[in-house]
Amino acid sequence: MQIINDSTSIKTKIDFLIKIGADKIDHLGPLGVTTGTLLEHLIDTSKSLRDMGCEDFVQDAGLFHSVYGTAYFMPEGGLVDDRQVVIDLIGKQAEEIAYWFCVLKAPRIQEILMFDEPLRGYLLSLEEANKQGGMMTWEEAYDL
Amino acid sequence: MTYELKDYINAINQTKEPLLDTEDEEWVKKYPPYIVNKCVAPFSDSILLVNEINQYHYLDKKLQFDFLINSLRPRKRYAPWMKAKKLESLEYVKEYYGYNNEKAKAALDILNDEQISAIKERLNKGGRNGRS
Repeated sequence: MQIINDSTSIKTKIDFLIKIGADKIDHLGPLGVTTGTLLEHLIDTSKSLRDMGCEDFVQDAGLFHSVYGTAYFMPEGGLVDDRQVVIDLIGKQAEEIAYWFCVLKAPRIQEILMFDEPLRGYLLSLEEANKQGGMMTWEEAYDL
Repeated sequence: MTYELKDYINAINQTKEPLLDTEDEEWVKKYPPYIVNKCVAPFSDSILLVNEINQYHYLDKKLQFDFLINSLRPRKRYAPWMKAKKLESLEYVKEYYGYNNEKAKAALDILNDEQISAIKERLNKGGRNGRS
């Protein structure tokens, strides 16, 4: 029964992301090359967080980490402007992580280190998963 | 048990403690290679080594950690942005305006150094560090 609930829940979340057009937006990698759709990237990020042993709410934050637009990805007005809609879907804890991740300016690590634990840890995990083990570019390494 | 970034960074920079050699697999799972590389990169004695391991980002996390822990000479490496100065300012702004994290951060972005110093002065309660 638990498994059915979980999968239903994930389907609802992904349906929401599709509804706001995440499957129609390209996701650009660090070199400006399209790596697939935003939806694929969000799902991969969530999976990476699961592989890192992160809690369910952190995985949900990974799934929604671009929902308000980010420092690298900012459609006009953001994707969603009502935080309560997102809270209702993934819960307050996950939404807070996703919200901050969207709000933070690039380069994010400097900003993330300003937070207290445990939020700092969650955001760092999300930043790591967001990069998906990729190679750091010179620009990223030295904020060029 | 917590698996914080500072533990990994301290082990690589100074203590050389083989954190990922324990039976607790979480140390490996939670090791963030991208972030660690970013934190260890901005130093003249580490730049080339980090660049080297950065090119092998697909290797097992343990291999990446082992490379850094065994290649870098032990010393303190603090990137300027890793200092807690801004965080401290955030706490002052929160206290001064009664803001939460979100609002304080927005305020911090528009306050200049002079204004932050004035806030700190007003909140100074005396004592050794001005906070007691």
